This record gives sequence, structure tokens and C-alpha cells, in this order.
Amino acid sequence: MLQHEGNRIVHHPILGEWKPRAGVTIFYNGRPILAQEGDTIAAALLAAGISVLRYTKKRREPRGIFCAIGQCSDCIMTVNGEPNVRTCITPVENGMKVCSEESQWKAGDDQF
Amino acid sequence: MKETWDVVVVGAGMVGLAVAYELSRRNLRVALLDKGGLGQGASAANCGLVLASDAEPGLSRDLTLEGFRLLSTLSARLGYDFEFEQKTFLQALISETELAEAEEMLNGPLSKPLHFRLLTPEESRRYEPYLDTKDALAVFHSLQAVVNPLQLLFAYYRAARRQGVTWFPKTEVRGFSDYGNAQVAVQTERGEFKARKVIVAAGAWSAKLLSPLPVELPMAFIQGEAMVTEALPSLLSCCTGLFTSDRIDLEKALGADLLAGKQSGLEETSCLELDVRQMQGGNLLIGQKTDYNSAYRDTVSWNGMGLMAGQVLRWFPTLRAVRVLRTWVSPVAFTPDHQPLLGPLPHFENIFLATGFKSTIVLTPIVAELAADWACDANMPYDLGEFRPARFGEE
Amino acid sequence: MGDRTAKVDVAIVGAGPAGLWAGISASGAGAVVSVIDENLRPGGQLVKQIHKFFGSAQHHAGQRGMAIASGLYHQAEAAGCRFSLNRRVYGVYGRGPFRLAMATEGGTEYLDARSLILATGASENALAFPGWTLPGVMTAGAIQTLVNLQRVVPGHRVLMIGAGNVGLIVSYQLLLAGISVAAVVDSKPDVGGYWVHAAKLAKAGVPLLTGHTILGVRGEERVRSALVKDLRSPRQPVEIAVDTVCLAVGMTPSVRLVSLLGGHLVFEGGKGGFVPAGGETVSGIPGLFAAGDASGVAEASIAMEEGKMAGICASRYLGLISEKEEQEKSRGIRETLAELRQPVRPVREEFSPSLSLFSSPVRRVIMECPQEIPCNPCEKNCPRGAIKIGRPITNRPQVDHALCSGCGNCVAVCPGMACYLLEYDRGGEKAKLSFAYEGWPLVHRGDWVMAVAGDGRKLGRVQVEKVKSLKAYSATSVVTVAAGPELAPYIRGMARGENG
Repeated sequence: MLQHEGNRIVHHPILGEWKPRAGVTIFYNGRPILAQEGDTIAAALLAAGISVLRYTKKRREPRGIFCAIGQCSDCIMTVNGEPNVRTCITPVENGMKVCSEESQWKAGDDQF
Repeated sequence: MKETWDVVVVGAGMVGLAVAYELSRRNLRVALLDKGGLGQGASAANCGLVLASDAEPGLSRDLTLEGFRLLSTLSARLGYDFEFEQKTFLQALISETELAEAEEMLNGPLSKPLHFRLLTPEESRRYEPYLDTKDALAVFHSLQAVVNPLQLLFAYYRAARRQGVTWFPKTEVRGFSDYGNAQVAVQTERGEFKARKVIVAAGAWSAKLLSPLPVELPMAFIQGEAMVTEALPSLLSCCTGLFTSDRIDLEKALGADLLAGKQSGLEETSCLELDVRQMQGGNLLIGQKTDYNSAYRDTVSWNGMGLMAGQVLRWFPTLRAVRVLRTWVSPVAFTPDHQPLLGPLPHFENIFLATGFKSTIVLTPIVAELAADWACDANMPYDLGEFRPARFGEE
Repeated sequence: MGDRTAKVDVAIVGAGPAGLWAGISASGAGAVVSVIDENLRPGGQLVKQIHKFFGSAQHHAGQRGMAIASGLYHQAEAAGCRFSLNRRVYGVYGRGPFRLAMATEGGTEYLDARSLILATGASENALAFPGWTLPGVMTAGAIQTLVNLQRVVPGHRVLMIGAGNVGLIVSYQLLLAGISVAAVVDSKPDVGGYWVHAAKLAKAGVPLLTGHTILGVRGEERVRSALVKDLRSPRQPVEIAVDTVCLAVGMTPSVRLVSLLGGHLVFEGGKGGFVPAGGETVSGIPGLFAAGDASGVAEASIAMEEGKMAGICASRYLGLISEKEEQEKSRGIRETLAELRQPVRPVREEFSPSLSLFSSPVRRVIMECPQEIPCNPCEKNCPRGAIKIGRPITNRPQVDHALCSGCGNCVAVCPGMACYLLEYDRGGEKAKLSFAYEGWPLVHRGDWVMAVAGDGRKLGRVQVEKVKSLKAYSATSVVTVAAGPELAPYIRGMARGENG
């Protein structure tokens, strides 16, 4: 009876049944995650149960999706080596490597 | 239950709570039992009218007037405001017969204490400007009172608890037995309660509750229905209704049937006694349609709601769009002679019954005092012989 | 193509309802129009709106936002508008012409426009409280994006902050998606949004905690609970277990491009903050116009009218229409805007049957529409003309019950789902009540469902007698349940997920 499968809304009285699109695989900190074409990175991660997208540098506080329209930069991650990508408006691509920013830190990064 | 109580009170409605309160004032150890919670019968589902005008001559009238007097100062004694207020009652007279009856009442003994007067329709509008009197020949005026029944119930509960009454909700009584040493044991689903005396004030359920005992109690259910509307700005200042209803005739017929032990042919018969008033919170309370049923029911009838709404709009057309928030039905105990069952049971002299009142609220304070007097073996200021529960089996 | 600078008559920034209508209106006058938007899809916030809109037929009342968005886009394209999507205008240089600099994936593009219409919308306000940066605290727009576009569950139990229209609508959208809403919290004493939106939530049993505020959230990696305080009571705050807190605490007009151009801004609290002075014609800068939420936060129907107006003003500025034409075209719009901008007063209404409804057992349309809101689909869709609203459109509907045929169209099309049909059989012995239902799973004839009252109280199980779902009803079904005549007047819907 549930409307959800995992974190995906599959039954919806207005939007209808969820039609799965082509599957793509992205790598989150090296871990493969199944996503669907048309997902944004942040949505694909949330669908996989990942709500913490990064930790702040100084105080190591978790951040997740806040505005989902590319305005607030809470969701920035390193995508295919490029830092500070707004994952809430960037669509997934097959083979994309998504890393949380803290995994890229070097020692002493939090000193300034 | 190893404890022994002075008195066990069965039924936590208006009467039961008042009795428990009076007993505790006399320093007795009191256990109050109910199969449910507080006020689950008619006590929480009634219009809160403190009616004295329909008391019959004799003991009933004496007790009513005394009860009225006690009730007007009760709030100070209980330390809780239950919205007691003197209220002008207006009753529309729509036939010559009613007019004649009303004129007779003007000369009766209640006329003075209750300020009976006959108003012309125009005069009545000075009391209630929104009353549409086009259908009325005249309007009968009396000064009686109203309370908020829920608050009164709570006032008694609070006072009783403060004075040490022990309260056992959800404790259904299964039977009674003689325990020797002039003690009664009350069997309940939670064990046995031993007491010197038992007072049963279980309203419409009293007959069923006492059915394990070989006592004949001719009682029936009357179901009263009422509706409560949304809160409005101050609009009505009186309690307005019809002067008479078919209820009296129906009650006589039902009483005769009950005495004869016949299945009543009056089931599904109903009648309307309208009263509309505005409560202190602004909600209108509209009652009451009554019907006779042998079985307890918990839903209102469409027919009853329609009758009441129709009558209200006949007298107050301005209330058309007022919204009905809730409706309720309450079971009321009914006896063949419309007189209460008040006194010890035949052969079970330490069980006292207090139920079957026609206008319960006004009688509650005095009945509670009498029951407490009985429990203390004190002298009663009244002879309750007229109301003794044994009266029906004696002829 | 050495020079990457394109030239147009009118550039419109923002492809929401205001921008699309500005485009339709200016193209209609013969202007070469380019509509620019930073998103991949046109439609602005409309694309996330899955509820039915209020208003009149000309504002697509009764349609769902997503359908309105694609309709307007096709209309604008057919009128000749060019669309530049996925482009963000980061600068405007010069005033005659306006030179727009746009960031694209491939680098910067420029566009020269003789006239510029800013329909940049508004951005959501945030609310700071202890823990507000935790994952799980998000804006209402984010929730809509995730739930309605990405179809991902943002959380399983949501606390909504803000009882304005956005907060109420998004709460309802969450319910549609099968996500529970713990409560709607607002510090004001009354619900700020339309009462009918609040009534949809009340029916579903969602508590509307007006006069309450959020003190903070608790959790380590994600929201675990929220502390909510009753502002009128000295009692301690209550801790509500939720995994998501949604912020719907108003919007601020996006006026940065006006500032860049040196336009004068004035503060208007009722419009959400600083707005361009001069209304649709930004004062002091010839050829610059503003429309929609950018010129003051309001309803989509108002944005559409303002867009039309800005298109006409730009056409006049360019000399494409005469002054007389401008006046003719704008008169109707000004009248409509005046109607739409009527303030809607908060109401505290008891939604229960009236005494007159009890007193006469005939077929009745019950309209629980207590506010003067601009909306008339019930009138337009009644085949017998039994419902009258007329003008102004904010009039409350009047029903001639004698004309009603009982078709249930009004029940289905009412965007507030505030229309009910009460019918009696055999002189009042049996009753049926019809209500609008949007929910999953669907109900079928013969199902037993839990009937609920307007405040969400469960009334008892009743049997479904009829389910009417027409294509024109757009995913809304009219469900008719049979119930005792004493119960039917109180039924306002059924509990979600409790049928079968």
C-alpha cells in the first residue's frame, strides 16, 4: 500500500505512476550508486539515503540540500575533479565521480 | 479489595458525584465506582436547565424548591463557577388550550417564586428581540435558571476528590451480596468492595445494575437528543421554547404500559420539547427531542435533528446559517409515575437507590443531602415514602 | 559568427508566468522577443505546482500549475518568442540598448535588447534557529523540487513552518506524495493563506499550530526532532519527532538586476521587501519594466496580468502600438488586477452543517468557501447555472439549490476542494455525500472507507457508492459515500490509506 519504493515516490495520485528512466551509475566517494537519467546529483544521493552532502571546513558541521535551486551552495561537492559544483541542479551522467569535499581536504585545511 | 468503606456510591454522574461529595463532607470513607468515566450518561448530555416549573404538587415540589435554593449558592460552596445563572424562560403558547393551562398556572403556588407572567408577543420581543412571534398567541414568562452541566459535574468531582473520595473509574458492578455484620459486598470486575451502605445512582442503567437482586423496578429509557451550534456573539438572552408538547400524553401511556408489564407499543414514537439558549461561551444549545426506546442507542436520529432545526428556525429565522457543531443523544431513566426512585430497596435496607428524576439538576443538591443523611442514619427533614422504590409492586 | 551579440526588441529575464505572458503580449504586438531563464525548463515555479490554481478561466483556474506552465510555453512559442534556457543573466551593461551578459555552459553570451522586462521572480526567505543548518531543514521550494520533479522522498515526517499559501499548499503536496506532515507551525494568530487550503490539511488531520514558533531542531547528522513553543502559553516547548523541517516563511523579490542598472527601489512590506519604484514601469530608466514576483510577491494570476501589462508597456515604448491601443489594452488588465489585489481577510469558520440544512431534506450543494478569494470555476462549470459569483470575482458563490442537477462538477473543479453535495433518498431516511478526493490508493465502488469530518475527526466507516473520475476533472475523483442522514452532513472526506 505504500506509495514509496525505497526513497522514490512511485505511486502518485496526480503525477501518476513513476516511469523509471535509463539507469546510470555514479560513484559517491568511490561507492557505486544507481541513479536514473534526469536525476540531479543531490536527488540521486538522497534517493540512495545520503542526506549529508558535505561537512563545513572549520566547524565540521553537516550540510544537505537546502534550496534545491542552485542558490544557497549548501550542496556543493567535487564532481569529476571539479570543486564547488552545485549538485542540486547538476544532472547525473553515467560514470560520474562525486566526492564530498572533506574527502579532498589536505592536512591543515581547516586552519585558516 | 481488603478495605472496608463506609459507603460505596455506584455511578459517577451528576447525582453520584453530588452524593459522594455530601458523604465526604460528613467525614465518611467513600468509594465512587463507575463502569466508565465521569458523566457518561445523561449528566454530560443535557441542556443544563434548572427547571422547577414542571414539579408536581407534593414532595416533588418541596424538594424542587429546596434544590433550587441550594443550587443558587452551591457554586460558592464548591469553590467553582459552573455558570449558574438566573434566566428568563419564554415559552410560546400556540393554542387556546395552552393559553387556558397557562392562565391556571398563573394562579398556582409556583407562580410567585418563579415569576410566572403572560406576555403578549410584542412584549416578549423586549426580552428576546430576535424571537419571531407570528405563530404565538402569547408567551409564558418564568424566571428559572441554567447551569453548564459539564462544569457542574466537574465542580462536584473536584470538591469530592479534595475531601478524600476515592474514585474507581472503569469498575463495572456485577452483583451485590450480604456480608454479615450489616455489611454489603459489591462485586466488581476489579474485586469486591465491602461497605456499610451502598448508594446506587446509575441513572438509566440502574435497573440493569440491580437486576441480580430480586427487586422489581419498572423503568424504561427515554432518549433525549440535542444539538450544539458554533459560538456566536451575544444574541439570545433567554431560554426559549414551546409551552407544552405531546410528551405528557405519551408519558402517561408509556407509564401504564410499563406497569402492566407490556411491551410498549410506543417505541419509535417521539415528541419535541423545544428549548434554545445561548451558553456563556456563545454556543447555542438546542434541545430536545425525546423518544421512547427500550434499547440504548448512541446515534441521533435525522428526524430528531430535522424537527429541532425546523422549530428553531420557526421561532428564530435569523439563525438559518448558524452551524451545528455537534449533536448528542442521552439516555434518561423513566418511571411509570414520573416520580423518582429515591430510598432504600425493599429487603435490602442498606442499598439506597437515587434515580428516575424528571428534572435532575435542580434536585441534585437536595437528593445528595438526603442520601447522605440516610447513610449517617440521621433524621431526614422529608418523608420520602412517596418516592420509595418498592411502591410499584405493592398493589 | 564573429560577433556573438544577438539583437532583439525585447529581452525578458525569467520564464515564469509573468515572463511568459510578457512574451506572449509583446510578440503579439510584433516585437522580436527573447525569453531568458537559468533553468532547463520554462515555467518558473509553475512546473513544481501540482495543485489546482484559483482564479478565473483566463488565469487557467482549476488547472494544475505544471499544465499551465507547458500551456503558456507553447502559447509563447507559437506567438514567436525565442527561448534562451540554461542561461543566467549576471550583468546588464548600458541602457540604450540594454546589453545582457549571460553565463552559459560554453562561456559568456551577450544580447542587445532595446527594451528589458525583468520577471525574475522571488527568492525564498530562510529562518535561522538553533540547528537550522542541519540536513533535513530545507525550503518549501526544495521540497517541491524533490517531491514533484525528482520524485524523491525528502523525509518521512515533515514539520512545516509557515501557514501562508506556500506552506499550506506544500503540506498538501506532501500528503499527496504519501509523506506525513506532523504539523503546520506559524507564529501569527491566524492562518495566513487561503482558508480552503488549510481546510484540506485539517480534513487530513494535520494540526494547524498558529500562535506557535519553532525554537530549534535537534539531531546530529540529520534532523531528529523539532522544539515547538506555544506563544500564548507559559508551558515548556514540545518536542516533535520529525526528520524534516520545511521553511515556508515568505519570499523576497529578486531585484538585483534593477539595482545593477541603478533603478530606484522602495521598501514595501506587503510585497515582500524592496521592489522597483514605479510598478511595471521602473521609474527613471526608460525601456525597463518589471512584472510578477520581482515587482512584489503575489499570486500567479497577478503575475500573469502584470506580465501582460509589461509586454504592452514595452510595445508602446518601442512604438509598436499607439497610445490609444495601449490604453485600450491596459484598461481591462488594470480592472482585473484591482479585483485580484483585493486583500483576503483571515477567517475563523466552523465547517459544520447549518441549521437550515438540517431542516429541509433536499439536495444541497455545501460550499465551504468563507473568504472572498478570486476564484470562479464552480460558476463556470455548472451546466445549470445554479451557482452565481459574477463580478467582482471575489464574490462568494451563491447557490440556487432548486436548479442543481447533482452532476458533481462543482465538487470536482473547486480548487479548494471545498464543495460538497448532500443528497437524500426517501424523504431523508438515507443520505449520500459527495466530496473531491485526490489520493492514493484510488477508491472503488463498494469499498468501505473511514469518513472524516472537516477537522479530521474520524466519523465511522461508510461505503463508497460511486466514484466519478472524468478526464476533465484532471486526476480528481468525486467520491460519493452512503451514510446515515445524521452523519452525512458532517462528512468532508475520507482518511488517506484507510480504505479497503
